[in-house]
Amino acid sequence: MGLAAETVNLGRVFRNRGSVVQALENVNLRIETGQIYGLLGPNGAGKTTLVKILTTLLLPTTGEAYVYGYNVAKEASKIRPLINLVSGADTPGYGLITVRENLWFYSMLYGLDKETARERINRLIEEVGLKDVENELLRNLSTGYRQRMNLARGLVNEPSVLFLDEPTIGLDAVSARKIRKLIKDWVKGDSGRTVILTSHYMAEVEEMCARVAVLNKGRVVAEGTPAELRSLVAGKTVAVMEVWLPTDADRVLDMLEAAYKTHDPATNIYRIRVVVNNWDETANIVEHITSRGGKVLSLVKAMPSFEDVYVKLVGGGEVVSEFEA
Amino acid sequence: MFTSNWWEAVKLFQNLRHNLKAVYARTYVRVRSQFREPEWVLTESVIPLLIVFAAATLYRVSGSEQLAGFAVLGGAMMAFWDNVLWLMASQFYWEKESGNLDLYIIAPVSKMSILLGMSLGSIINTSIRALLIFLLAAFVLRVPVNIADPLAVFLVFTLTLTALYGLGMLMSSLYMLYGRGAYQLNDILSEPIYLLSGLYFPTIGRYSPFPAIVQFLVSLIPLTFGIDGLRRTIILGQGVEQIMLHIYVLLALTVALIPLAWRVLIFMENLGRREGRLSLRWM
Repeated sequence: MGLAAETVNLGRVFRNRGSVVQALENVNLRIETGQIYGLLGPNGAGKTTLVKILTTLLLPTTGEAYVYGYNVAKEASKIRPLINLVSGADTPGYGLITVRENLWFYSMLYGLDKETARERINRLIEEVGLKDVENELLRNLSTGYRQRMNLARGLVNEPSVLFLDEPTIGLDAVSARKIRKLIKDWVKGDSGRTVILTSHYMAEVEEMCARVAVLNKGRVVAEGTPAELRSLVAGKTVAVMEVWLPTDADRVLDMLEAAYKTHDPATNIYRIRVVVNNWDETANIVEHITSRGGKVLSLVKAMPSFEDVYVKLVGGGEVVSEFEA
Repeated sequence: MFTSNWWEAVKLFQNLRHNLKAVYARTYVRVRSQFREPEWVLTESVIPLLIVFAAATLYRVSGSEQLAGFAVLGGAMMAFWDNVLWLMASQFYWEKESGNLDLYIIAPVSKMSILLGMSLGSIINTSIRALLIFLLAAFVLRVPVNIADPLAVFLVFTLTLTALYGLGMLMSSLYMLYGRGAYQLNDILSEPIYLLSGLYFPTIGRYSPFPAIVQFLVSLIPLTFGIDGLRRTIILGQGVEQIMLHIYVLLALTVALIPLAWRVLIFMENLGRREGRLSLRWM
């Protein structure tokens, strides 16, 4: 297999009104063709910046990036026919023309001839499930249908590399599942197809991706298959706790490295997950909490999940653990 | 050598055809969208019509019958300037907000084709509105129309639009990296251009109240010579010979503005990629 994308010591700095943001630092990735490759990380990790560089929308500040061997900075015109981008945060297209007309419009930007465009749009409308709304104005569509239209648009040029930036964000569970299935089916349809997917939904990445790079604060903190990443917590245990803490005592939890929590402000109850090397360590945690005025309401033993790997790598804070989209 | 040249020619032809498809598609989107909401043609004609009625009535009660006719043409052309400001110059702001600009940038097509398509669509849409304003105002105000040379009207109208939309493409390229600031700039540019380009009253030639230097400067706005040329050919009945200066100036502006827009577009795209202001909305 060849390389769909590669980055070498890639860095990107943003300067805006005196402030300097290091969005990417020394990123080295090799993404092979024929797979769904995940870029996982919290907000501000640098996932979107990396995608923007690989899609030729942004230049690197340092290092180099390649798509199918072409340099993104110097050979953008050779990369552009090979790629497409679907961003879940965007609602591209024009509201006063129909779904079919929108797809036709984008097909013209790729220079498709009339027959090829018609045949491909018909197929995509069927595959993506837009048949019921193909002649509806885009502005009348629900968010789910708009996302499907956006995905069909991204496939209209049959790209070799499809970049998906949070493709299921804001979608209900059923629509998100359909989008995920469509993406998986599309990659399976041809061994030359590659998807580079960014997400902060861990379950989505674990389900879909053959390999994953975890980014945090602009750096790659881990890379491998989901199984390889899961092995980072192999042999360990997870303590799932419900804890009540007095007001302004949440710093008590700061010592729990790689714990993530949800907080109900009405009751001041925290739900936390902590990866421990052995179960005996939980006694120290309970002691730490109770000695500072907190109460442990429940304590349950669990097996480590992919989420725990993620939290171990990028630190605590609230995370999206389920397919909540 | 022959094979290489032949292959280059084929590639050039394919590239041209690809870009023409993009021009057609972008024109189609703009025209089709307007016809899906035709009521906008009427609502957007109301303000220019009211201004025309006010100006024409003012001129008429002060005894300037000919200037009343001039005001009608000014009002019709006002539709084009509004269109250039709000649907050309600041269009890329909207495209950026919706995510379309990213898709235009990564599409393997010249961004100039997108701008050309936007311009053609705008010209078609706005011509309908301008014609409606002109016909309604001319009918209600009983403005005498005196076209002696239709070719002269056609030439000056076409060249006015090519120069004006060349300016629109240039502004669109310049605005590409900016957010809501583009709106404030539009507000700042709107009224002064109405005044200086002669939409209300002639600002070049013998009817102009401005000194020669101001007349020279305002002649750099494509609308100024365009409106004056249209007044001469539609109201005063002049022919091609009498408006040769207008044709030369408008032709020069077209030849200068469209290639300049192209260069600026490429420059701004590269600047945006370098600085990150092209697609990152927080910058």
